[in-house]
Amino acid sequence: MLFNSSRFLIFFHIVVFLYYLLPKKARNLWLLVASYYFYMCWNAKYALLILTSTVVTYLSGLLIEKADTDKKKKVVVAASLVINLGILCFFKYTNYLLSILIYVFGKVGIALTVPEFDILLPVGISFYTFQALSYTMDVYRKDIYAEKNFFRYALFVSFFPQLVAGPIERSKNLLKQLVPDKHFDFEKARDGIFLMLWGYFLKVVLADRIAIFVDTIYREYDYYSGYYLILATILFAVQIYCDFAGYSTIAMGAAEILGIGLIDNFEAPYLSISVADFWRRWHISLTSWFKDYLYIPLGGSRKGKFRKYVNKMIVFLVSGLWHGASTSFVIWGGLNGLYQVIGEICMPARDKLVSAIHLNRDSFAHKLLRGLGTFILVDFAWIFFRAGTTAEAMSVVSSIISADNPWILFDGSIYDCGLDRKNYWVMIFGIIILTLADIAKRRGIVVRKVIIRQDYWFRCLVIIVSVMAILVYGVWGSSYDAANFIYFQF
Amino acid sequence: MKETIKRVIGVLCLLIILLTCIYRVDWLLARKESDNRYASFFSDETDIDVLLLGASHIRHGIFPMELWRDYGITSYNIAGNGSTIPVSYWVLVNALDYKMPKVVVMDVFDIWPNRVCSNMWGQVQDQFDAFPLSVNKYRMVKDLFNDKELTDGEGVSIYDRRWELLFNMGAYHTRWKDLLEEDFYSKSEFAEMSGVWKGAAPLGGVVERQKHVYDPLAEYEPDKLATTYLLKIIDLCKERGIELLLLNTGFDCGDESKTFHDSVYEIADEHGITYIDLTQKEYLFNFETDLSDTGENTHVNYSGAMKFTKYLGSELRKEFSLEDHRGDLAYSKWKEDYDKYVESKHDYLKKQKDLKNYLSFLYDKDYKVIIEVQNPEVLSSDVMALLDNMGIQAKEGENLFCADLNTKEADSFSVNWKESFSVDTLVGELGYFGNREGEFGFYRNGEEIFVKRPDEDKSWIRVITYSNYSEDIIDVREFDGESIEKGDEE
Repeated sequence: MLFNSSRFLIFFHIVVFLYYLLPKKARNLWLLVASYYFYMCWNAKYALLILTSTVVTYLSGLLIEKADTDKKKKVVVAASLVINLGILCFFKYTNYLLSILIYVFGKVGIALTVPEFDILLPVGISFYTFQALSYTMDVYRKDIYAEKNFFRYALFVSFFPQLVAGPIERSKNLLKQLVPDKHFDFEKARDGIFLMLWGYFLKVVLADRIAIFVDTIYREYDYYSGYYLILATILFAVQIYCDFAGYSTIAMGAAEILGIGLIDNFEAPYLSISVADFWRRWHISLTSWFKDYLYIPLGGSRKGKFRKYVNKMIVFLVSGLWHGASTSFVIWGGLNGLYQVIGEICMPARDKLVSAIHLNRDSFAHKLLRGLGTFILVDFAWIFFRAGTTAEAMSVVSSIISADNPWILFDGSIYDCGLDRKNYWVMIFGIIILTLADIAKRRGIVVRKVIIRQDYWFRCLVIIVSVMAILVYGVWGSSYDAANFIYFQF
Repeated sequence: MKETIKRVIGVLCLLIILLTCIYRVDWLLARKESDNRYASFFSDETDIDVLLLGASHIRHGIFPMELWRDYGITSYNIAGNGSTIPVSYWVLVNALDYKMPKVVVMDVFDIWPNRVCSNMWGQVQDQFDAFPLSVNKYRMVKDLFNDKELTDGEGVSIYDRRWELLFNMGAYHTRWKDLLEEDFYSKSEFAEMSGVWKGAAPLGGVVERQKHVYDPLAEYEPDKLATTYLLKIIDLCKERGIELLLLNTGFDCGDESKTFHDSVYEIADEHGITYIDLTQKEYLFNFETDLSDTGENTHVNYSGAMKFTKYLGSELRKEFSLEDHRGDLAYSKWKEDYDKYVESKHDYLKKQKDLKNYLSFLYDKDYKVIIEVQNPEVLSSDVMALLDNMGIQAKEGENLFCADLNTKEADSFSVNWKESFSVDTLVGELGYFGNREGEFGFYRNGEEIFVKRPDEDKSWIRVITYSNYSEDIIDVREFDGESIEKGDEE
């Protein structure tokens, strides 16, 4: 059940309506039932995996609290990690690991014949596994008490707005909000509606429209060369942002209507002035998860510069692997780690250069230059994310480097790549709106709060125009294939 | 409390405005083909005598306004291109929500054997779009399109698209970039326009029949799906006290369809229903002049439709006691619509660029024609056949023809265009005289019509069409060698 489907809209209205209609004691149970139904719409059998993860981490929490020695606690944490990561690895990485084995053995002359397992990747497994594991570790670290109420805990793991594509919530934030004492809050509901509208705009008007262009180019990357690929790669950066941020914003809005606040997963990431800055603002819930549960336990920056660089590389390589069982994802993660390590190593030289040529670090021009540089680096890495294989990514890179057809940007050729002229300009207009919204966000202006402060007629106008824009300019219905969210595959 | 009431009112107002906007935009973006055909069926409150059901053979073959002119029978042609018998059943169910005809004429032509609907989804939309949202429309969607495997000709799942018949914004919202002037017309304007032809539409083109040779060894079971729904139509008509007349227009259809058509004899017999198998009444049509080039030359063109309508009218008069409403003041709207229909027929005639099409559209009781042949090359066997169809038996050397299409009387003359002459014809005295400037003038009954003779190079044939009622000139058309061979309907 996709957020951008009529089925979800019907489902969500029923959930909200009954949620506030039911007695307070029954509300969490209702949300739990709804969440499992939501998940089972993809694959009913895989609900057992969430249940397993839920039971294991729930019991781990209780056992950790009961354990009287640190050793016992560690055993419980280890067991929880092994079971949860074991499930994740089996479903996500079995075929990938086998292909690596075959490759390695093939290199030394041993031909392995291993059947490929027909494993269907459970939707959102990486998200809920990480969310459940964070609970085990938070209890171990005594950041929170173990949850006694199983149903409440099960809702924490399976809360439908963020179940399949995040944000990866922490027990410290979400679990404590799952208390059945909420009244309908008009302000929150209104806020949630504005968030959902913005999310739908990002997803159906922008991401899915850009996807038509990007998919056309990348599907035949050896036919569309040079500047086609440059343009498609730039637009893919916008597409994946709108797609993922769109999902996260709809999730935030849906949760807000139910009276629950989720963390904001994106903070205008393409306005970042360094790759490290970008990663503080992109998929914030995952970055902070890796920071808290991998980077810091590995020693973070406490054990010297070299270890810090190694730790960073480990985190980003694992992050790449988390996104997908493919070498190209690992390269994508590795590139992002490498940018930061090289950036830090070169920092003294960069500082010297800046002072030597008297650059004003606070000037708009300097920030613009850094912002562009950051975008180019991040976007270059996206090639490995978007391409199906490493070989395909290398072909794209090669074609981009040898680009010699700039005229296609001016002679109308780009309008023959899935998006006609009018749709192309709707896309450009949408990107301008997104950029303005991100600039406002970076300046601390929450646009929806500004709108809410306006008169009733203006608020109505914004809602009506937004709904109509989504309905008219959105990529939905039979004219288009139902567009999945990119991050569902993770 | 006061604040709550204020908010509830505010939200309700917003919802009303929003829904109104959606409704208006939905109409603006919708494809209007269906309304162009059927809108007046829903807006005109007077009941009708006959409802015509079936596929394109009926839609292009029977003109309700001709039934009105000749018999005073009120009818509506609600047949749709590609409509199967199951689709026709649901058209009838839905149509009976708005009109209660005395007779239903149903074509049993099995256009898509064993398929619930056409493989062109647009044809299904054109059939149902104009039907207002209702319980029966919902039942139609649920009943007809429950097969998840059913796809259209492009392999797109019909099951996935089925709800578009109820909420067509999903299908048409992409039309924002293709809006035309007619998209801004109101529903009532479409009701007015569709009232002229009342669902029917004439076809151009004149082609020869491609006679299908049936395989005597072919063995097919009669289409069970079509049989089921035909029985449902029979039951529904019985239940509502409506007379049913079955037709078969399936000339040169496939072997499988023919098996079904043959099986209808038994069904009709069993239920005491008149079944007219037109494929056994070939004498009704002239297969050299009456077929259009659509649907493998199986559709009747304008002249074929005139003959088909005339025959059906006589059968309806013979079989059922239908009142002649022509003098009835309660049916004054029909008189108004008829006048518009006559104008529309004239427009169709004027739009024809090709001589053969033009002669086909002249097959109409409304007309008297004078045909001047400047270049005898024009009188090919095809043109001679069309003249013959109009009652003109042209002999060698004859180059001036006059015909009254109402009485089917014709005169032929052999004249010398370079000299003045005068002849008495059934359309009056025609004279071609030199005037003072040395030019030739054309006179009918002493009244000068033209001051110039047609240019011999540019005009191989000139057709002057008069209205049989007003005696006004409707059109004067000259065809040269090129326009005789080329040029389609505009």
